[in-house]
Amino acid sequence: MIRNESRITPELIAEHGLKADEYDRILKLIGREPSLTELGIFSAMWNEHCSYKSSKVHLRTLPTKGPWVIQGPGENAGVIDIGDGLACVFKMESHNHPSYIEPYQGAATGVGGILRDVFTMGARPIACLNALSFGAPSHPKTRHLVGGVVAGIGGYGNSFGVPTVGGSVRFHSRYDGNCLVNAMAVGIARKDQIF
Amino acid sequence: MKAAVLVFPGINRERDMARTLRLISGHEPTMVWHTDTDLPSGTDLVVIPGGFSYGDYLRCGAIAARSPVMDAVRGYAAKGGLVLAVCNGFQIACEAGLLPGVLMRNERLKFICRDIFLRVERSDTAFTRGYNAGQVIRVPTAHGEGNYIADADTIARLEGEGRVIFRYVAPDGARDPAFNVNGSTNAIAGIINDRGNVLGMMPHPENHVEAAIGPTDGRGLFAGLVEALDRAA
Repeated sequence: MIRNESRITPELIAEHGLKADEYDRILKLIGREPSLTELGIFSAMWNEHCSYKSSKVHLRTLPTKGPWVIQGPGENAGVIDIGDGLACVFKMESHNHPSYIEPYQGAATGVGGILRDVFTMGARPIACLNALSFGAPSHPKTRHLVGGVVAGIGGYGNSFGVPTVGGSVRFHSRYDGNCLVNAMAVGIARKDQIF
Repeated sequence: MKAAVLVFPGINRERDMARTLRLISGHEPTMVWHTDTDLPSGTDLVVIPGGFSYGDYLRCGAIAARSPVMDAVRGYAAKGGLVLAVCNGFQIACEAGLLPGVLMRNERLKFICRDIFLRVERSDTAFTRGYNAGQVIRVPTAHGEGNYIADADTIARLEGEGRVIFRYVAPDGARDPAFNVNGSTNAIAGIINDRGNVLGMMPHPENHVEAAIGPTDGRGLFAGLVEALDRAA
């Protein structure tokens, strides 16, 4: 085992964005105090961006079954039978905090990640969409975030030659502290050629 | 027509180009991978399509221009073979030394994705025999680096030798800086080499060939090429 170079204090745990009960769960899981590296890994993997820890309960209520569903949640992307031997492959992802930290790259990798998820199912991406929520227009960060997010979404889509065909944008002061960047990619595949 | 469409990693318009070639010539083009060292025998048209070869890293077209297949294309062009280079293809052709000059970042620093108007400056080339000189065509364009630049001597030579084939113009055909979308020198949108067998252009004629989708002004270029090749055969 790697020896801890620094003591795991409550302050350090808080700095890693982990609550006391979450830390207790880590202790229970591995049966000992984690190393600093392990604490970092838990911090990254258990954050909202990676694990949807607070939104999962709501996501579970969405319909995922039906005779036309070829692939529900669990794989790279969802697949729906659209007839004529064709399937629609799609993926949606939020890239909220990455975009708040670094708007261009955060939004660009949001689009890139779902394009990857669509083509790794054997589909050719044909369209992108997005739904964006920013803070109040008067908030000092808003202008910087809007410019970077829009350029990032466009930059990745243009490189792929995939058009952004629709979306929505809203501004409200409740998003001053974190923007929402939801991106969606849609692809088409032959039903018998899905990976 | 026996067309060969080059495919580099990151190219994304090769299917549009292949579809248009098939639609207008009636012949299926061959897709040629960038590591190939030979073109298919009997190739009478090489097309370098648009896209983002190698993600535009280093410089647009710089890495693709050094691919193995480009040696074959240079040899083929040196023997007078026809080469059509569109958008990223134009950038690759410039980087490969097939055409002079370079395509810089658009003057207004924005990616441009919309229909533009081109004036066909000459109708006596293999690429433009389907048009009349002075004709204005509407075609789509989609690029971030289409601002054509060359040194003053090269520009003077291109203009003096009538090698500027397409220019960005107003819908009525007049030169107007407001319609020179990317800030190109002399509103240059397309040029040919000194032998007249290599054409490079930024806009996408292959995307305006079907009435179901929109204007069909791009047809003339491909129909003209088919005619030129039939005549040569």
